[in-house]
Amino acid sequence: MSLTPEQLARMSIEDKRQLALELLRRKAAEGCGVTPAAERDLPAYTRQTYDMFLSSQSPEHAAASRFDRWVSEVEADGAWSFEAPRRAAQRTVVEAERADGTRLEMLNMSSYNYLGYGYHSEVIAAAKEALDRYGLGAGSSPVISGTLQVHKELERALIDFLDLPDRGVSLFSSGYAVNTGTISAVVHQGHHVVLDRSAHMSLLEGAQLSRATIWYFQHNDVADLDLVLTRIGAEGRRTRILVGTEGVFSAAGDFGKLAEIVAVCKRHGAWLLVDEAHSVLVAGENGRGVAEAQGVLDQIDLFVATFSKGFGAVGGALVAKRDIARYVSWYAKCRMFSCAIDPAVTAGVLRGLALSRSADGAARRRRLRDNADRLRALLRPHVDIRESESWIVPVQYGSERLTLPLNDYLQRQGLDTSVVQFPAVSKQESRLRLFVTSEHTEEQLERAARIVVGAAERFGFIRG
Amino acid sequence: MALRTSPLPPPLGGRRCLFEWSIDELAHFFFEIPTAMVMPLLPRGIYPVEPRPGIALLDVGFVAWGAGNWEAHWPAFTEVSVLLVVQPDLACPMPLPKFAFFALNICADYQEFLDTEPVRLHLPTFHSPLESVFDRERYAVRVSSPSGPLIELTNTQHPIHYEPVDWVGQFYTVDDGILYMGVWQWIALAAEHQAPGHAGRVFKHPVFRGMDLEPYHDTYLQAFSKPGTGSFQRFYETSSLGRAVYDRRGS
Repeated sequence: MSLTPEQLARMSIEDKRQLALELLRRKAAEGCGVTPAAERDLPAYTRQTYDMFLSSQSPEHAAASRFDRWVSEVEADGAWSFEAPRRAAQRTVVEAERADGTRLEMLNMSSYNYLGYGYHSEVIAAAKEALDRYGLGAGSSPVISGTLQVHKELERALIDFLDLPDRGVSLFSSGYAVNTGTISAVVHQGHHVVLDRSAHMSLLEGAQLSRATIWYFQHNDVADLDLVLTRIGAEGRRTRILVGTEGVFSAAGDFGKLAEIVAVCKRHGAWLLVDEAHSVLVAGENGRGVAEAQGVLDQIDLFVATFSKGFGAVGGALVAKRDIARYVSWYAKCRMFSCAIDPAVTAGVLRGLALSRSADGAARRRRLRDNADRLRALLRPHVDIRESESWIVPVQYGSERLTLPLNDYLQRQGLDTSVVQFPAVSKQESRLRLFVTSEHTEEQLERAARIVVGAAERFGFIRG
Repeated sequence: MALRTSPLPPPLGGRRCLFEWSIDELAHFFFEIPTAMVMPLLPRGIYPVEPRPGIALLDVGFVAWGAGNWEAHWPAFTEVSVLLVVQPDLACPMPLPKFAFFALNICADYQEFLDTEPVRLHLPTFHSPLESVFDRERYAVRVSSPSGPLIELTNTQHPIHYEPVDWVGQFYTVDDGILYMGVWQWIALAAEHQAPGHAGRVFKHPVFRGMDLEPYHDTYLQAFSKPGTGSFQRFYETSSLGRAVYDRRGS
């Protein structure tokens, strides 16, 4: 369409408005060259992918029905790739069954069973023996009658493993509960919790439960942490400050700057909690975590270990000065008012801990690091793997709109990964995460890399 | 004042379209501020969106409206809006809202707009002459008034990625003690990002209803229309939700 200046001059404001609107619509229809090809033909439900974290203020359960409708729409398209039940243990190859009955055999890089202890024969045997001895569950709160002999054995073993004889242990039935329970026990209203912006939800919820004032510092930015602590100190009142961070951050696979953070915390008189969920048994020369690797293990006030990653089980533990651990055992409500950790799992964790301290553990850790290095080397020339330093290798694909079709595609190509997108990470920073384990073979790593590179070419996030 | 008489878009969410206005430039900056700061300003039943516990989102928006929007004689004028991001009512029969806002203040440099805005949409207005500068190259905006500067803000991501958008959302506002809800729609070539960086300053100014925003530089989100392309905003009928009740008196 072309108009002469005279024609334009004769047009009413209303006509000009309609013309501009029409031009805008045509540009949108052409794609304007600004929407990547990979996104242009995606189903409408992908536009809502990142908005689905909204709740609703209406009295009806509108949020639930909206979410249900959206999931149903994706399922009807055959693209719902989440929650497909795995039919056996989290080994390096798994088979999952989709809602429509399709079975997919996949290379498993979505499980954080980093050292393979989750299905180790000795671990399983120890769990079976405890099952025979103690039955299915602990049968009571740990502060009443739910503390069993095997629990005390694990507590002693953890102290010995960390070589911190002045510490005590408080066991929890989930790693998430260690954080929510510990934080809400040790800080209260009027206190301050300062968290890394990338901190896990369990740390955030623990801070919320505590009713302390919550502050955030830029991810791994020690200077910003110092600034925040200075601002708190400027309030001039005696108060308690707890800083929370992690050994390995699961979104980017980077290490927490624990040595520097310890120094800043000491200067400001703040307690430090370090969640070593993705690093205990795995990081450090002896598997004592990133704190060991950075030489500050004995300076962490609240050391959080979870049993669902390196141990391949479930549950967790707080390791702290004996009086603090004892206090948390009684004042963490989610511990006191919940059943003690499963005895069979506890026995399995105990056996896994013993194995990890042997040559077997050292060998697995070495293989894990070598595997992670190998996978990074295979992927780095082709895709953006961000700041990956650990056994979590992220591959950034960017747009949230790609999450559903990409994850579906990868599974059908035979690769299972763990996606993370907004709001867990910033918009346009969506990524796959490949959890490397010590048990992956060279061939499996190469195959995984081939599938990822193929996906990157198809979905437009290939480098170069 | 005359309502637009030419055909308007069909209803949205069961609400009639009231008007469609053209926008020359648009830049919105969403700041992370303590939830405790905003709770006194929200009536009961309206809850802030918290991207993380204890943090609410304040949207400081700059809009350069096109000429002739409400009446033919209306010039182009600028507006600064002060909005809180709140949880939407998902039971409203409309597409999933992109955002829901609670309006704290609308400030503009065209008096007739301010005089008529409460009638159109029940929005709170702040009367002040404004001097604004919008830098299309840097996506930077500077607005000041006789009471002092309001904002000096700039985009933190380069290059910036655009795509056609058709966003719908809700807004909530209190007028004469009554809480209202309305629906908006924005059609544009737009960009939104969460790139970190120092976005600039929001100064102490009466338009911000007593909130001291100067310590807060971290934006959660920034959104822009592509300079020079123009965009359109539609507003749909508002509905009364009854008397606005505050648990603590809002300022």
